[in-house]
Amino acid sequence: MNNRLKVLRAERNWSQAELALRLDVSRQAVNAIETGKHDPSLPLAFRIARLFDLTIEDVFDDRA
Amino acid sequence: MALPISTERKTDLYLAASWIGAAASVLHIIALALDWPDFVKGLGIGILLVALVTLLLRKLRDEYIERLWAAGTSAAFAVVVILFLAKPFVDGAFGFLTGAPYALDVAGMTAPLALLAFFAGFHGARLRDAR
Repeated sequence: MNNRLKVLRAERNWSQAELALRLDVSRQAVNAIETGKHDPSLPLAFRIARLFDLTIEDVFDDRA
Repeated sequence: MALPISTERKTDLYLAASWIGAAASVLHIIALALDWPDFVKGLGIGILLVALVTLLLRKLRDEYIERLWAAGTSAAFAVVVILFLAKPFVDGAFGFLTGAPYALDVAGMTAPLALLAFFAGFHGARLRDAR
């Protein structure tokens, strides 16, 4: 699944570690989501969307 | 009172335990195969036990680590099934080649090989993700 996480993070000048801290997940999890190796659970997808004040569809796109 | 540990620290601890467990698992299998002294076998098992207890603590895992755990347990389960299914064929083949009855020591082999498969699956998934 495609996502804009890396772009959104870069816009805020956050490191992966900083984003991981804000989401309460590991840096490895953030990296795996950004590179499309891991699709987040629904609760985590909601946390990500809320953190960036967006909807889940604004962050994630399953039409790849 | 327990000190709060960050998710990052928990993950570091978990991944360290997974590497230590993998090394101890390899040490244990080599020690068994080469019949090394008992204290070496015991050392391998002791380190492995500490690592395994750490790996069983679910509160140390976030959802990505859960995914690695699932990859490891799938590999371990596959090894158990393969050993179970292969035993009659291996027994038959060795019996035919040696001309004497042969019984594969499945009970003795399953645990070390399944643990090795778990660590291979766990770290294999992690290394695939790192590419």
